[in-house]
Amino acid sequence: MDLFQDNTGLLARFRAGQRAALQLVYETYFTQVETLVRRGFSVDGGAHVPGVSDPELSRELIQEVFTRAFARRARRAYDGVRPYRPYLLRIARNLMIDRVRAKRGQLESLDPVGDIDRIIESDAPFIEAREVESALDQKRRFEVTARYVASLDEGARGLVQLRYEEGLSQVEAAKRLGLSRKQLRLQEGKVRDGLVVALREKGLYQ
Amino acid sequence: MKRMTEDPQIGRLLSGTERASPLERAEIFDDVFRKTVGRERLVRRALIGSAAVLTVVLGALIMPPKEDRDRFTAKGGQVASFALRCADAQGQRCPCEPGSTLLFQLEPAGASHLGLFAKGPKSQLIWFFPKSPQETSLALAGHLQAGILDRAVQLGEEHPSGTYEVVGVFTREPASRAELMALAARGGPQVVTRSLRIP
Repeated sequence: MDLFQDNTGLLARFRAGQRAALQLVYETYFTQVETLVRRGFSVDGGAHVPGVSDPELSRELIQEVFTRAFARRARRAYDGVRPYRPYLLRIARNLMIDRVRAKRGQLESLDPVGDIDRIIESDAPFIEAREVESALDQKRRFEVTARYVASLDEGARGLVQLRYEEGLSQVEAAKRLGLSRKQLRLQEGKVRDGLVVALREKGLYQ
Repeated sequence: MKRMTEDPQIGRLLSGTERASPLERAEIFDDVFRKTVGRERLVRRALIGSAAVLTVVLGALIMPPKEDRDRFTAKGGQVASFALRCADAQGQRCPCEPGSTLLFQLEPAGASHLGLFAKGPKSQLIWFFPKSPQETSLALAGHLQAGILDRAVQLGEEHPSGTYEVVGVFTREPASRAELMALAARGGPQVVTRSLRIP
């Protein structure tokens, strides 16, 4: 069921640009957009638009999708009648096609979600993802990271959990840990630097 | 300061996922909001303003606490000055902290251009105007609405906590960064310094 269906209150708040409303829409559809960006898709006629696995590039694309969707004109143009998901996917589709045309960035074939135009037209779900084996190096990176985190003291492990697993802001995490924001930033920097060292020692980070 | 997830790979490894970590998702949303609604509201407040919002912002800015007023009162002649104020997304005055908008209230006292920079807690230099070494100081004509500059700064995680020394250099002609730094080093009535504390 579409988020905006029978929810005129949310539509009004979204169009007005209220942060909580935008955040709700964002959180509801983020995974869909991310999946499309990561997996790529096919278009009618058999052309294939590969997905993006590079974290920085995928982040850039996802951010651009939502920036376009949440721009004032786009918010006000959305009528709340058409389902929102296809509208968002269409923006992502067009951005990714533009990138292929411009041959920007590192693109790889992963596991396409299906024919994007049919998905948008009928608001159909993505086809199931195949079990894609992570690259061996990436598996090793996760293993090294897990060992590294386990070696940290309790405070640092708590920091990793609050910031990276729960996604708390620096201010919120600092409060929970009984630290000042400055102390938290310093400790977080050390944790990140330590991981980089651990990865480099194994030849897993450049 | 580099954003903590500037290398998303490290953040994703620490979160145990190849997808965007919760922290990354939050940062993406903050960026999206700042670039869309945040920018709309800033322009609206600075240039047009809804009556209620701008009145609140103006009320907060042009009626400073009594102890501040003497700094803006001309004493035997006009003296250029500026004040720093922070507002939240609703235009309400708030402490200067990440997420708030830093606004500049100016009394140019005949100056036509403004150069503005800050020295951060780690002695880092942050230029507001001019934005690049190729540009010159900001021409104020057309950029002031009731004394409020229509250029603001969104405080974020790239502004680490600490005390900032914000230096404004008022001139009657455009000046380059090098010229502004030289003027600031010499001091004088056209150089105004304000302290900004970010928790």
